[in-house]
Amino acid sequence: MIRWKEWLEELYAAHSRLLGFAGRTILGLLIFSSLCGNTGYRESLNSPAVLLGLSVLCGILPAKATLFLAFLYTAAQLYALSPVALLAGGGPLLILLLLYAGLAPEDDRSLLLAQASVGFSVPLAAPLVYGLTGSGTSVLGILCGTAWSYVLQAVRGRKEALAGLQVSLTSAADLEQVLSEAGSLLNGILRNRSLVLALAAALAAWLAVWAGRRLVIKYAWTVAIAAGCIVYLAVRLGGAAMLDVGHTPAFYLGLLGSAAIALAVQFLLFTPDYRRAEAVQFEDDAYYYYVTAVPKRRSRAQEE
Amino acid sequence: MTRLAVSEKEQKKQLRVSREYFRGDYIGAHLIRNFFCATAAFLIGLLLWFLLALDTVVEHLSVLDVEGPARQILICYGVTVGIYLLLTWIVCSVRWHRAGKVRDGYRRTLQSLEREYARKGRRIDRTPEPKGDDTGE
Repeated sequence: MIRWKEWLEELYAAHSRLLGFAGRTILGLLIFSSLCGNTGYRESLNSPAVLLGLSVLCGILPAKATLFLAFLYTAAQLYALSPVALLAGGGPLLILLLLYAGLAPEDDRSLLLAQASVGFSVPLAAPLVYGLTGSGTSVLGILCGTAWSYVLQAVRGRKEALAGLQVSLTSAADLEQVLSEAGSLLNGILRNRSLVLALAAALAAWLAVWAGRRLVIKYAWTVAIAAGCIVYLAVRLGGAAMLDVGHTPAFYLGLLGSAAIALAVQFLLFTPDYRRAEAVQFEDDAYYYYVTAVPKRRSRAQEE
Repeated sequence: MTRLAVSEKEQKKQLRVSREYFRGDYIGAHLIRNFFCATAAFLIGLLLWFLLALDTVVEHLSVLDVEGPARQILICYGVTVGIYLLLTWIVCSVRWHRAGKVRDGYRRTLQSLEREYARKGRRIDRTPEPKGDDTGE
């Protein structure tokens, strides 16, 4: 495994631009596949060629442009279902994006990846990964991305009622029906107890991981991942009992999948060899240093 | 030298922030931009609220009772934008502070490189010139 990781590092060092582009494209593919799975109202937008084309654009464009592209894609899908769906579903999404874009760093993809992780039923993956690797503002992306996915689920829940409903001002009855549907959808989004629970659980898990990985202890990242999983599970189960929201077996599988993703990220980014840790003391003109040096795990061939 | 090149590449954005902006300018520009973002978001939210509470809105309009709701909307707007701008101020202050730390670290590395060059220069000056062949003189 370590040898494989070293090979990957060498490959990345040799072709960093190409692999960076490939990585961003794969992330784009995940994001747009998840959006397509959550919506999928227009056939032409569901084709693999369109998804691949958009993913390649994600590989080229900066993160904020990708966010804009993903919103346009979602809006087009919602409009294909009904203009009412665009109004009542796209409105809250636009509010989220406007507020998020003002605070997010330029190269932050946490919102889109959080949306994709909820879409692929591994909702804890984004809080774990960004708790380990992200900055403080990435929690905003995680919360907005989770909300994005739940908005799309709420629209999908009212798909039959919304399909083919046209905004028409010709008769009072039509207008009343349109407003009633839009109101019901908005109510469904704003008073969604599952959404509140998911947001609370994601926030708590992110905080646990973020605080855990900063601890100066052995196996800090592993401890942080475990703490994040436990906190998430506790909040979800406690909240489910209070708010009367059920959980399926897929939820527990998703939890395991999220932990596996986080452990994979840990393996790629943080592999200290605690058995060979050394405590060192030295001084210079200005400071005394008490340092614990933990070497990175290396393969035998690399060490020789 | 290598450390300088790496930090220049990896922390390019933070170095640019601390090099090109004063603290007040950096935070002020973000506050202005985010004021417009928050206003746009609030207007969209208001439109959606109208959709949700259309009956109440029509009721108020029919009896020309707009002063009370308008005041409530303005208070909501003030609170929303205020909280968002406060959050912006905190985030930008932290970013500026971190950019300052990166700049200080970069400056220290640059100074130590200068010292290193100066030391090497002195060592080269002290090295005696190789003696020439005087057989022909």
